[in-house]
Amino acid sequence: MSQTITVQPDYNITVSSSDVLKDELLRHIREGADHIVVDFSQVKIIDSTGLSVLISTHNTIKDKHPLELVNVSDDIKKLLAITRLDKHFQVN
Amino acid sequence: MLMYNVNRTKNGLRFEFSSNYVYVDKTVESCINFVRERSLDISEFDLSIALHEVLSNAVRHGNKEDPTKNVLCNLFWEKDMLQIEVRDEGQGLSSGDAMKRKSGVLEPHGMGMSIIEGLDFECQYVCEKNIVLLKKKVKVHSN
Repeated sequence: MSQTITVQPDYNITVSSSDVLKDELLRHIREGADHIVVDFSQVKIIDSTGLSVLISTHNTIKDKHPLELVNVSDDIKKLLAITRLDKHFQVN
Repeated sequence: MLMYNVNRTKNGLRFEFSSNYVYVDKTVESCINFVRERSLDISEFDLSIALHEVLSNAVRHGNKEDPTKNVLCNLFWEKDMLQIEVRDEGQGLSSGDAMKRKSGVLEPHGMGMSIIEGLDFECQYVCEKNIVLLKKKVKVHSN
């Protein structure tokens, strides 16, 4: 049975903060989550280190469900397009 | 001991700081304030991301996160060109080592330089001197 959780970071996801998100996502995976939704409504910036955290998470759970990103700003959508991650994640 | 210095120059800002990611954030914030003060017509998102990438690379790959090694960053705007020069104190890369991500391969590393180029910054490496130079044509806001 699928277990869905939503994570809502209230900080920009850059090299100085990405470990916080990484630890939270890993904890949910360890606890059995296989459908993870990241709510970007409070995230203005994500750098490549933050994107790497999302990729690692996606690679861990993608057989069950791709990583889902919601409330993503146009700027961050542009970044996901540049890196082609929009082809892998479910972006809303 | 950790160190962080910022100085105003004729056309911009000059930073020198110990290899610490908190100083990367601080430097990005100061650069954004500079372009706001000058009313430069550049996306703050694009500039923030490009700076995060190039400064984080200097800390991580250049100085190997060694806090005794410093990062120098010189941002200046001259003749409608915004330029960012970043230098680290690492071993340097051979030109063939410039990190780029293979397109279509989903790997959690090597995206930084692809992002900078995707945001339309002109990017030059002076590998033997550990310098990365970013340039972007930027005018003053018309209103």
